Amino acid sequence: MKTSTDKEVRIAELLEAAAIAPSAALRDKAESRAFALDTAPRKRKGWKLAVIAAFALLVAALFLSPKAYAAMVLSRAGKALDGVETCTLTFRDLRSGNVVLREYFDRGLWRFERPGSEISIYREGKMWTYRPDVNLVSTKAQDSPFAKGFDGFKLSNLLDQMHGSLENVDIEGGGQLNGRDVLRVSILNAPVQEKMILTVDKSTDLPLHMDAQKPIQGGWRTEETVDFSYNMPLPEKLFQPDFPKTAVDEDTAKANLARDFTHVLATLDDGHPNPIQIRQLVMNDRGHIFLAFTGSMGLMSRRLWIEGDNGVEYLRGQLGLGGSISDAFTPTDVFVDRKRIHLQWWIPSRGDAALPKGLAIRTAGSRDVETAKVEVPLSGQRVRSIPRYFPLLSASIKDDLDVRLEEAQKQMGYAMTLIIEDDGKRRRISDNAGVPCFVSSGPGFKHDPDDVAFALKQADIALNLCDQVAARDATGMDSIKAGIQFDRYEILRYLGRTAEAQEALSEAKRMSPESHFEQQEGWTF
Amino acid sequence: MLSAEAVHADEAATDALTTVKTRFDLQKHYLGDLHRYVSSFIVHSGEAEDVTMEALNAAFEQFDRLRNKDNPKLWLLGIARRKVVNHFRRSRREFPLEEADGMLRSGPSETRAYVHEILRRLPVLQREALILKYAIGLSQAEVGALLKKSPAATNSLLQRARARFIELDAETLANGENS
Repeated sequence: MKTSTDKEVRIAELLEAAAIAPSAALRDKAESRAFALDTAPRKRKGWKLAVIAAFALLVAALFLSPKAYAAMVLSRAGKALDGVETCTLTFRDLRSGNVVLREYFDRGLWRFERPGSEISIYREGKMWTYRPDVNLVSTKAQDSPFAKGFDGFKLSNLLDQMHGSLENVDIEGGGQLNGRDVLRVSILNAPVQEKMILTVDKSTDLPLHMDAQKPIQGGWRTEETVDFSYNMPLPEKLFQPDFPKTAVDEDTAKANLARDFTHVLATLDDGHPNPIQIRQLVMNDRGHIFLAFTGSMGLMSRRLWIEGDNGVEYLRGQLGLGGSISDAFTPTDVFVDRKRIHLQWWIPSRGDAALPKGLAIRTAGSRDVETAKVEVPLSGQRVRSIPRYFPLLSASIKDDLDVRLEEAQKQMGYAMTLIIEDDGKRRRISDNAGVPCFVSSGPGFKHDPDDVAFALKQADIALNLCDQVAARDATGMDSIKAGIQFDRYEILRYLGRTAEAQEALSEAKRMSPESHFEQQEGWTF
Repeated sequence: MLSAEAVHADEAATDALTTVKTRFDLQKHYLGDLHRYVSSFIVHSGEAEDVTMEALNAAFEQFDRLRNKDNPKLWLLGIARRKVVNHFRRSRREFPLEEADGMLRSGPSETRAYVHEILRRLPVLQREALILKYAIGLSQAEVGALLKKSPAATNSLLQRARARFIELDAETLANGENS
């Protein structure tokens, strides 16, 4: 049996052995950027600072310090919240204007509703979560309703949900909200560059409203809000885990799913004791391939590549089927014959080719040397968009919109990495880690005009699909659109369409100021 | 090889305080930790470096306003934490380990992929706590401060994380997946 120290040593050793150092290129980049900023001339702010300091002294002389007053207001708000019996919280995403979450609290019972997505109920140490899209219920024993281990209904819990903290508080001002006298207190979380503005009722000390803000050039922008209402009677049925009788339990769903994968279609025999066994291969109407397999894939330097018998190379779709950064139900939970099921989604690099009738699937070891190959015919059976297990396994792939968006982004990226060599042949460029990367702006690279036009078309399609996804999910897609706009900027710049390129870059910066696109301009090669 | 003493010596405090007077000092002393933290979440080496640089740029911008230049590690890791979350939000991508196989060729890829596989199967907060404690070398109190957890909650989180990591390690070895 391992002692606590043995465990620590083993963990530390493994993490140490797995660590990689920053590359020389990254070190150079960091050094030169730091040096440039350290030696840049500074703006003269002396007179401004002097005025601010004089004003602060005047305020401090007349009143209690604003920070101390703000801390006092928050402390009283925390105490007032402790006495609350029921509360309804409504979270809104201002970028879309839609409600993204409703929370109901009634003396230790909680209900969380994400419109169009899921309902969770917490009571007596258990959390039930129902996902209407897949009619699935999961039940977990939990010490607290919040994943981060909060207990109870406290101000700090609410702030933490919005990524805030009780450090760096200040008074922003006063005024009225819905006819009540209020104070506005700001809570700055400097490390993560976010600010909360809490509007507190002066007479009851209870928070009535909260704004979550992010920095933009020269100020702050409110992105999310929360509205509170207190001590209204809430129906008992809100806190009962009464879901449709047809809802399927998560464990049953996993067992059913595993049954679909018992048959082995083909084995990639490369001498490994746990070879890759293809369990299911499904194509959709767009020619995307959905592959289910078992075998030790993740722990060796192996990778798969797929080519259709129509000569089209396939690209890995990256939504949702690996382990997740969230704690969602993932395919790693599904086993058949005690082997873990891996699911992969492959997208044709061009959408205009005839659909293949069969696939060549290869494994590659280190340095991309082929180690095994199988040719697998595709059955005539096709799914319309995504196999039925996809939404079950990944909340981020809901329907055809997600599939088309990923397709457009992937195909755009692929087209951008194709160059024409001196002999006129197309070749795909990779960076030094073997990963395709963006090369449109590089000196000396020639691209086929058809590839560039195709990339631009896919960028436009992707932007349009982003709008549709945003409307469907009632959430903003600004950061994704900003990334695509930056890609458009690169393409347009390559084409010499300078004005349009600058417009795309401005749009990217406007939509995602925190992405610092201006710093990336010189980074692509 | 790390000794038990070395692990225990870390309990009370982390490395000696390093005062950074310039951005150059900042990247010189902390780029390694920053990159290690980011790359524990982002397997793709190129993307991990991009996000590391993004975090460093944000830190450079705020550097003049940083008050405690004696120990900027926590501040820097806080920025990196946000950038990692933004990265996943932006790319709508999760953790494509199988695909990452082909991207890890430049490093000790088998061990790294093995450890990543274990980390990937840990709940995110447990994974993060282990990385901060054993890969970055923060003290327990600093881990708590960064994850906004009380000392008792941090202790319990680390205990659960260690137990789960060792369980997954043993399970993976028993399954022969590292053979």
